[in-house]
Amino acid sequence: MTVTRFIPLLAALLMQTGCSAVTANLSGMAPSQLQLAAPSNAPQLAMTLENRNIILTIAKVERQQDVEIWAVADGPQVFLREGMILGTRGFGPDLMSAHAPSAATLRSMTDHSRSYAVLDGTDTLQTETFACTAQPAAAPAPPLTVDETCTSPQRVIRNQFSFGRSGKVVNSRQWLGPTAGYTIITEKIR
Amino acid sequence: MTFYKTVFCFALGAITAQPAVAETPASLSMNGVSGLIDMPSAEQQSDGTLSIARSAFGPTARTTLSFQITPRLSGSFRYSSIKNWGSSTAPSTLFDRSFDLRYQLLTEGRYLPNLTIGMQDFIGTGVFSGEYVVATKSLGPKLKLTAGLGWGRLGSYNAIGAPFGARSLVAVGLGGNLRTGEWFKGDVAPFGGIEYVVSDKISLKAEYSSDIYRVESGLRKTFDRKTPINFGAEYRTKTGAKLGLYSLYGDKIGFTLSFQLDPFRSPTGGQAGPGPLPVRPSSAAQGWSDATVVTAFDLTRLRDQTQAILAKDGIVIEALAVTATTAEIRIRNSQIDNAPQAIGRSARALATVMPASVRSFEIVPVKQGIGLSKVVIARSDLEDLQFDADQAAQSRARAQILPALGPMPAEALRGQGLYPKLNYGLAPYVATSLFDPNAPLQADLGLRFSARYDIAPGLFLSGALTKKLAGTIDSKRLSNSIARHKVRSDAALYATQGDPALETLTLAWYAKPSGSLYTRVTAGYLEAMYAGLSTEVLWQQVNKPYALGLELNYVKQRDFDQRFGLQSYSSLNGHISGYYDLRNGFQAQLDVGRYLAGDVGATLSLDREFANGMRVGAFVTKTSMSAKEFGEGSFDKGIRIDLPLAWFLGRPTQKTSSLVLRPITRDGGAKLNVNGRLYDTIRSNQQSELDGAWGRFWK
Repeated sequence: MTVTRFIPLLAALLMQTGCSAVTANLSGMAPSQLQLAAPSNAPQLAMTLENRNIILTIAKVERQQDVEIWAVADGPQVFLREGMILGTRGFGPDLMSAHAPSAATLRSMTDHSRSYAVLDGTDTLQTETFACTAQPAAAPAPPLTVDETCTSPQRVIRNQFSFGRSGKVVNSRQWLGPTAGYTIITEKIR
Repeated sequence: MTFYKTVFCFALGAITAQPAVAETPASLSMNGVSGLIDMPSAEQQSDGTLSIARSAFGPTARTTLSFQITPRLSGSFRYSSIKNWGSSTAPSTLFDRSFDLRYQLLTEGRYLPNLTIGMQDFIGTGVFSGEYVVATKSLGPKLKLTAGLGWGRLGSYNAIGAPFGARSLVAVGLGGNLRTGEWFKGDVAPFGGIEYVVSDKISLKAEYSSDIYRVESGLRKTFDRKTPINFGAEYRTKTGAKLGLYSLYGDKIGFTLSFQLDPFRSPTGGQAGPGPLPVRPSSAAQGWSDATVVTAFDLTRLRDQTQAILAKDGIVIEALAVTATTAEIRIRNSQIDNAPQAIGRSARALATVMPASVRSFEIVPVKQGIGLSKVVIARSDLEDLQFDADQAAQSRARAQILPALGPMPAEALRGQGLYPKLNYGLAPYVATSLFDPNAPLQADLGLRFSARYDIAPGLFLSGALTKKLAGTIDSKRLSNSIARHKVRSDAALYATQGDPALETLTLAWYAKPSGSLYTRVTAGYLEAMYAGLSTEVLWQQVNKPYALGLELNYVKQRDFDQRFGLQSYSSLNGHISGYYDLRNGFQAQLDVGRYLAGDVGATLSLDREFANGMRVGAFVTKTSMSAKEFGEGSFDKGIRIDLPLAWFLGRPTQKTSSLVLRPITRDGGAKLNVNGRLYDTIRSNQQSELDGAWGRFWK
C-alpha cells in the first residue's frame, strides 16, 4: 500500500482551504457584550476531565437566570446551577442539556430523576433518563457529602457532591455523558 | 471528490476512533463480510458500519467495501485478483468485481442463534458466486460457534445432496445480470467453525471450509488445496484496526487487514471549539428604548455588530432588515457543517444585538444568493429554553419553518462588500482511474487553482485550472468501447492531455421565482469533457419530503487538452428527476431522460443518510443502449459515499470527501457533471433535513 505514504502529505494539503475566507468588516466595533470573556478578578474553579487526564481552570463569565456560565480561556463553557452541571459547550463530546436535581433535593437525600442529552456520532440527540437515590457518602467530608446513584437501562452512574456550610456545592464529581465520562470540579482559592 | 481522500479519511477515522464502550465488533472474513476465515458467519456489523478489508493468500487478493445498510441487511462490493490464471506458457491475472448481499433472518437470543442468508457475487461474472444459510451462537462471552450450508462455490466440497435441483450454468456474457436461475441450486455442503475470544485484542479462529477451489486449485493450479481446515489468529489494535494471520487449506499463509467505521461513534466524540454566546435577556440589549424606529444609521450599526459576532463562525450576513418588532437576517454559512447550528448561532447573535422591542427573529439561510427557507424563532423562546433539559425538542416545536419568499424587503441593508467580490484559492487534487484490467488503481496528483467572482446575488463567474504534478494515469490504456460515441470512456485521454487543464469556466445564474420554485442556468466550460448550456428548474415545498426537478442541457464535447477548443460531438440531454426523503434515513431519487450518448432511460438511486452528512448509496441506470453496445458490465451502476471531514476532524468545516465507485465506466447511462445542481444546493435547509439535524441548534 504505497497510498499510505501519501497520507501525511495529503492530510496537510487537504487542510488548506480552497477559497479565501470571507471576513466581516470589524472597523470601530468591539463592545464587550459581543464577546464572552471573564473579568480578570472572576471566581475560578478547577475542572478535571478524568477520561482525558487534564485539569482546566474555568472562570465565571456571567449569570443568566439562575445558571452560571463558566468558561475556559479558549472558549469551552460549563453551565452550573447550584453546582449541578446542566450542560457543556465546546469540549467535543458535550452535554447538550440535562435535567438535574436541586441542591436541596440532594441534601435531603430524596429520590429523584435525572436526564442527560448528548449528541451521538451522527449528530442525533440521545437522551438517557435515570432514576436516582442519594445517600451520605461512605467517607464523608464535613459538613456534608452526598453520594448520588443513578440507574438507566444502559448503566449505573455515581455522582458525588460536597456541600459547604452555606449549603452550596463546593466540590463534586459528576458524570457528563457516555463519551465524556466523569469530571471533578473543585474550588480554586486565589 | 476523490478516492484517495476517502481512503485517507477512512483510515484517519478508523485509526482515531476510540470506541466509547469496550465492545468488539463482529469480525470480518477474508471476503470482507462478517465471518470466520474464508467462510461467512451469521453475525452483523453494528448498524451503519462501513468497513474495508484487504486480504491475500497465495495467488488471490481481495479488497472489499461493506456497508451495514440496516441492522439486518448488509451489502458488499469486492475487487479481486487471482494471479497465474492463464496457462503456464502465457500466465495472466484475473480481475473480478463482485457484489454480495446478506440478510439476518433471526437475531440471537438465549436459545436461538443468529441466522443469516447470504448471496456472494450474485451479479456479474460469477467467479465467486455462492449462496449460504448460516447460524452463529455465542456460548458465553468468549466462544462463538458457526455452522452453515453452502451452495455454488460454498457447496463444492463434500456435498451432501442437491435439494433444489441442478445448478444450470447460466451464460455469463458481459456480466451485470442477476443470475437468478442459479441461486440455491446444485450441490449443498456444510461448513462451520469456531471463534475463541482470548482478550479484547486477540481472538483465535478455526474453520472447516466447503469451498474446494475447483478452478484455482484443480484446473489452474494457482495453489495446492490439501485440506478443508483453516486456522489462525486475529489481533485488534487499540485504534480498532484488525490484522488476521491464517493457515489456509494446508498450503498457504494468508492475511487480512480491516478497518471498521461506525458513524454513530465519531473519532473525536463531537465538535470542539468556542462555545456560543449566551442568550442575554432582551432588557440588557444595547439600551434601546421600546418601539424603536430603526434609522439607516442604526441599521448599519446593528448589522456590523451582528456580523462581528457571526464572523467567528464563518457566517456572512447577506442582508438585514429590522422593524420595531422583527429582525429578518439572510445568512451565508460557509463553515459550520450543520444548518440548524448556523441558525442557532445567528439567533443568539441577534438576541445580543437587537433592541428589546424586536421579539421575532426570521433567519433565512442563503446559498448561491437564493433564500432556502425561513426559520422564525421567538426571542422569548431562546431566553426560556437555553438551559432547559428538553431544549432541542421544545425549540424545534416552537420554531416555524416557512418558505423563503423572493428578495428582501426594500429597506433591507445588504452585507458589506459582498458584490462584486473576488475569491480565489489554491488546493491540491487527486484524480483516479479505477479498475482498469491492467492497472486497477491509477492516480494523478496535482494543484487546482479556483476562483469565483460574485457579480450580484445569484450571479457569479467561476472557474478552475489544474496542473498535474505526478501521476500514473496512462492514455495507452484506452477502453475498447464500441458505443456509438465515446462520451465518457476517453477519460484517460483527458487526464493525460489536459496538463494544464481549464477544468471549468462558467457563468451561473440562480433565481427563486416563488417560494417553492428554484432555477439555475449555467453556461460555459461545464466540466472536463463538456461545454455548453445547462438549465434546471426545481420545485420543492419547504415542508414536504419530496421534490421534482427538470434539467435540460445542450453540450459539445471538449478537446482532450481541455483548453478552449471543442470537438464536433454534441448532445442534447436532460432528465426529469423525482426526489423523495423516506424519513427513515433513506433518500430515493429517480431520473428519467436522455443521457450523453443519446440513450434514453432511467437512473434509480437509494442512499442511507445520517444527520451528520455521511451518506452511502447505490445507483443503477438502465437505458436504451443494449448490453452488447454498452460492453462489459452490461449497464451503468455503482456506489457513492460522502464522508464529511468535520466528523473526522472534530471541528467545523463543510468539506466532504466524496467517492463514486463504478465497477467499470462506460458510455451508456452517462450524465453531465455540472456543478451546483439545485437539489444538492437547497436540501440541507429544507424542513426534513433541518428536523434531522436540529440536535445541534443549541451547540
